[in-house]
Amino acid sequence: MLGPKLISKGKLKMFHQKNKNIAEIDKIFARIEQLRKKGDAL
Amino acid sequence: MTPAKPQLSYAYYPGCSLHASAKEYDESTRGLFKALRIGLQEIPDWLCCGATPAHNVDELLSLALCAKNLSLAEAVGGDLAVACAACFSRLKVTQHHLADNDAKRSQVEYAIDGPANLTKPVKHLLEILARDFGLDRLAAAVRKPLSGLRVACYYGCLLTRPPDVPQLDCVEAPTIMERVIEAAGAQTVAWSHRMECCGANFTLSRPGVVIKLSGDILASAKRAGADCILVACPLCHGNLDIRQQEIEEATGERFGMPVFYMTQLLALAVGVSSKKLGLDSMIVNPMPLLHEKGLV
Repeated sequence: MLGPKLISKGKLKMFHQKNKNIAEIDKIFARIEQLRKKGDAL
Repeated sequence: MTPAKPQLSYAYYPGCSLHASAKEYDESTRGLFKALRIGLQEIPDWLCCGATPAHNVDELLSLALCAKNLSLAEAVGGDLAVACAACFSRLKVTQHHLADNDAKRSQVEYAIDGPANLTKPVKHLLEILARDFGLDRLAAAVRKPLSGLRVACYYGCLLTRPPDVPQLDCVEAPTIMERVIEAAGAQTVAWSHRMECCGANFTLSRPGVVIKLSGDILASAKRAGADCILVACPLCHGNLDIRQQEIEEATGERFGMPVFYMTQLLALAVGVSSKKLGLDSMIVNPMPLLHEKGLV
């Protein structure tokens, strides 16, 4: 079992706890969705 | 009289791994650069680069995340220093893809709601140490040479590939990691698997693939007589260090091979305390080897 070992070494953390700017990622994702709805995205 | 070289200073993009599973890479990078008096200033409000998964499922999102980070980096002086091989690769790929593609660039600019400033040079720590700082200065800064330590330098997939993008070193036969660690007094070994894939993020979805590929890498390093493996990528480190016991159980071969981030050994060599390098975070205990070589 890797989980307990990684937790004991302080290596396993929730990604969203550490990423300070998840709100900006959500904003970028929403604007890409807007582009896709308009049919303009890659 | 030769004028003194100006002090080096960089904007720093640590990326998500260096704030979590690879915190020892971050700690040792900061310790090493402080000891060498190279400035590092973390980019404010940086985002995840998308790492290895994003570009597989959504190219526009992966380009937009990196374009946003490159734009944020403009607020900090100096070239952009990157430690993680995956972050380095994604940032360089974004610069490469958007340099001459106006259609993609305009979509990325819509996504990040602003201009994409992509011109800041992106540099891996290896090129900062080897080229900007210089191997002679690095050798002169060594207080505790890594004498007698036989190191297998492992590049993995992302530091030099795809061929025309990272431009870190020769794509077929890079030597930059060997040159950097040899400047600190270590002996490097010639081995067959230094650019083979470790399985990367299959570690979660297809661990059997990782056990096979990383097992082959560990066996190759052992055959070459290495005491340890040196990496510059958190994914490679995770597969070779964290999964090593599982690999031993699956293959029946005992490795006991410590896997260091390059900055851990370099920082040790320039006199940073071993207590500040996250050595206790490593799954394969490196202390017996470091004691044997008189390095701690």
